[in-house]
Amino acid sequence: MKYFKLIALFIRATVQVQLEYRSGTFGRAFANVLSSATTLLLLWAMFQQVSSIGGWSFDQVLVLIGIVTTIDYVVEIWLYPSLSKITTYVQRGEFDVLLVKPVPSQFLVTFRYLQVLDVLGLLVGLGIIGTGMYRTGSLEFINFALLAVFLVAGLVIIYSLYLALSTLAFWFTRIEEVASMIWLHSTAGSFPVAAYPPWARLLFTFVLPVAFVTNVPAEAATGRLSWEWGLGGLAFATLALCGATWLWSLAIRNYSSASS
Amino acid sequence: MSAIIQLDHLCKDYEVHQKEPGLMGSLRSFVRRKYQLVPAVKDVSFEIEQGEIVGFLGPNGAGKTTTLKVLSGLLYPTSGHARVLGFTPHERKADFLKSITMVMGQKQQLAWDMTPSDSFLVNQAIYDVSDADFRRRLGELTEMLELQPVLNKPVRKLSLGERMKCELAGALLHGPKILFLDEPTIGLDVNMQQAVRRFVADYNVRTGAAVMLTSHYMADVEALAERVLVIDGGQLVFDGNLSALVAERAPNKVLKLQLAHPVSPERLSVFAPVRMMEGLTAELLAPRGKVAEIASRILNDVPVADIAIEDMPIEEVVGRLFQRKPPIEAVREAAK
Repeated sequence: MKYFKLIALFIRATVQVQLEYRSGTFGRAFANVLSSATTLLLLWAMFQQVSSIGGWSFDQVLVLIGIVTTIDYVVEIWLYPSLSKITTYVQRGEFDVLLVKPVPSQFLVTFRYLQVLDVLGLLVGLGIIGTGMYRTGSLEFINFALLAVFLVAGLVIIYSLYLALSTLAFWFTRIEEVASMIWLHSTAGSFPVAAYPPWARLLFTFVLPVAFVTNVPAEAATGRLSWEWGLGGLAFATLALCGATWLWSLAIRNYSSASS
Repeated sequence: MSAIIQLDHLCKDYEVHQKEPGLMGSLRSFVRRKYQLVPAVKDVSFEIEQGEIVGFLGPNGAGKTTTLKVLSGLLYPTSGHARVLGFTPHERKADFLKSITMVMGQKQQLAWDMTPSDSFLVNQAIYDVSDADFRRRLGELTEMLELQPVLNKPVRKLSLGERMKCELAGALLHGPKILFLDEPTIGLDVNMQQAVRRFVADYNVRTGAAVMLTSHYMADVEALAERVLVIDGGQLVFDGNLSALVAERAPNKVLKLQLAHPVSPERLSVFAPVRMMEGLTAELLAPRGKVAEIASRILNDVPVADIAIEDMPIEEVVGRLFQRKPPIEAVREAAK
């Protein structure tokens, strides 16, 4: 209950700040819509030449693009604003202020900035997913339920990856460049992983897990998810979250024993 | 009364990354880092009781902040033990963190773009403060710190002094039993320094909270703390009463003279060593036991318009202390 109240207060605070810088908010929303439109146009042009990519039809890839767009927005309104501050806290030595609070520091860095005013962009992503699902004839309750589960699992993976990369700031201080890997899902993940050569498929499944982040939810939404991939996605998400949380606690212990 | 802060033979070492000079040195240390252990705090022990205000003095890098960070749970001790309110600080239990507060003059907790009121609401939720307690404490703090006009302005639009007052309010809304104040008046103008000092003293009287305060401004410590801990080079070099520190470390009093006519320094130095001479103003150092006698001789022999007998400024006393480091026991004995 306390944590929900805190999240509500954090949202309120962030929205107040966003309202102070209105032009930035609207500018970003416009840029996002433009980028989604460009991707769609590119996709349409490609499918003028081929009938499928890696075994995926245009409408199935449409769902994939919708998922990438949705995840992009979640990263933009939540993960990036909150987690990118970790390096700042570490560089400026402001971490002490968080650590003396009687609330887990991982909670504070995870939810502190939620720019929900940009939520409109999220609707664009969900709209694209809906359109793709309609055109592939997969508007069924079970598909929506599976989509929700695997979209959350995908977000958990992105969150864990980003948290783990940002946590490296405790050891290396400047890691913004490394942490920008977080946007990989929107480049590599915009295509069916099956379309890549085998070595890249392995890379994008296990090392930079865009397959689990974007492909698996898209397959779930269109009723094509195999149980192996489904279980794999859930297992990967669980492991990633545990790993990132462990790394975080290690970093805090290390910070407490070494910093001045 | 029993001690609520106990520090027992605390040692804290830092691992410091050693870099050789020059580009090659940078490359070498990039490939293979060398670390050196630097002791920041060496074998420090003390106890603090409920309701005490203790000044923590020492030059930069003496180990003051490190000690405060160990006591507030931010750092693990390398060896030795800390107990605060019955808790081991570095375990950072929620009940412990709710009972203390840490104000760092150089680090701010209030969100830059939010109003203090909004930041206070977040603190209320973080510290599980009931609505009734929150309203009562905020009312008190608003009155004591005169916060009403600034509560609803974004923090970034506040002056440094206004911001520090809001920081203090935010840090005290959960009614902590111990206040760790690390340079709370740094950068503030004299009026604001006084306001903060008055507030800390009032708060201590009203709530009985213990206060541990570090400051570069001796006036803070003079105004607030009866007891001082002096730390230098990571070692505790004095623990005792502030006036005892002055009596022990400053064997001389300062005789301030306002002369009626110009007098040569040589003529004054017959009575006592001249510490300063500027135009018609002079300061002499007179041994405590003989100060009255010397003063009367001066009044008889020299054209004096005004005379005052004062203690050595505490800055000087403490400055002297840092130059010599007697064993703590000897100083404790002397202070009694």
